[in-house]
Amino acid sequence: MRATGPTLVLLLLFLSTAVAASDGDAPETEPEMIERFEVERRERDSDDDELQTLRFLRANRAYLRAELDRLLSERRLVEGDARALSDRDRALLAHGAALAADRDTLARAQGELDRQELMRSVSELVDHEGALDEIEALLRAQSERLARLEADYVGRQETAVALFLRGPLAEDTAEILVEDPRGDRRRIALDHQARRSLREGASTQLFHDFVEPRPLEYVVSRVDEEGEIEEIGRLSLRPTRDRLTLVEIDAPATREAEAGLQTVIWER
Amino acid sequence: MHLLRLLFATALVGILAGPSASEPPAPVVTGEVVGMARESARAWADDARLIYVENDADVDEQGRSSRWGFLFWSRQRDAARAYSMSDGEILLATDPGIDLPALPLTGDWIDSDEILSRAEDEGGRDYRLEHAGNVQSMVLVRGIFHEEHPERTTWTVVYSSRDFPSLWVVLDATSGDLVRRWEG
Repeated sequence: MRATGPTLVLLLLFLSTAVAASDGDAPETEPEMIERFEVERRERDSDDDELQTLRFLRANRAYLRAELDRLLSERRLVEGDARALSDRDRALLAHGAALAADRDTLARAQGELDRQELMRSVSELVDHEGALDEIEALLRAQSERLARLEADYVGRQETAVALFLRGPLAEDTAEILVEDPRGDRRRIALDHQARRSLREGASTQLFHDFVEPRPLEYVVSRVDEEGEIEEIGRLSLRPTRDRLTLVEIDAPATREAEAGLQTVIWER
Repeated sequence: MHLLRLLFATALVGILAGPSASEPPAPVVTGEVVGMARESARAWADDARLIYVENDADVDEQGRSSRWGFLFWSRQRDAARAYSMSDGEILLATDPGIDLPALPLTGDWIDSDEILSRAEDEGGRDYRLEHAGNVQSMVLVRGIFHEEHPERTTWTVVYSSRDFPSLWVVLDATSGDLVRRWEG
């Protein structure tokens, strides 16, 4: 039977103690004996075939490592301690699931509210936008009109009308009355010269003035010596901008015509 | 007299130790030496975990070997430690210089004698008889040879022959069921 290490140590201990006990020359005052054991420790070379370990692992290290890496990359191997779930654990899990469900429900409801609010805001915005568009169009039109008026009144205005009347008229015509749509009246008193011109069938100028280059309408009447007013006719014209429009009212032709003033119009 | 005692003890060591060193250790199954290997590893690191077992010497027909190699891993030390164990003795304790991040072996693995018997039934015996082969290696590891369930520990018995490709027989280390088998 081969002696094992621990057994060998015990045997040595026993024998050493026995030798010490049988030594009759040992004085009573001798210091305590120290047991010594031979322990053989050898530094092994890794190439020592006699005691090389894990030969298969060393020979196939690359293959085994590759297989392990492949499996670890395909499947996540997690080491952990498993234990059965207690009732408390299950209850907590259930509470957690319920909380998560409620949280999701709340989030969905909030999302729906936000969406409706957004739609409402968008609708209001659309309405406002329409109103703003209308206002903008009106402002644009007004701005253009103001610009035209400003150009008309501030700019160099050379639109003019010269109104003539060709007779003959009644002998007792003392004045010619010209009234515009604003109600302004021009009373043109016919002096001796003007009366003689009209009596002879010539023309006499009633007025020569700057006017707006827009449609104009005048009511032309005669006033006799008694102050009676008799309408001769209505004149409608649209003078050309920056031109002199000359209008000659033909009184006899007007009298013979069924309606309307008979005029001759030219421009300069 | 002290010197005399010392000489006597040394001689006794030489007499008793000399003949024993030349005798090969008796073959054992892994279960007979794994306990001492674990104790040694825990002396090295508190969190040492066994991750690999392999025969360091030839395996006989009963699945026993005179030396078994055990590889441990310590996360705290971030290092491995290998022990070559014979019957009741640590023959080698070394830093193997191997990086193998395998999972710790599950504790309920079938011992080497029974697993070899199953490997024999799963084609090992026929291989040996047909190709004059023998058991080259018995490897216990987790996470490498079981593709469907890498979390399970497996025994891999490798039969080799001089003139024929090796036979690999992988068995589930807990149930002993055949996992796969191939030649190459």
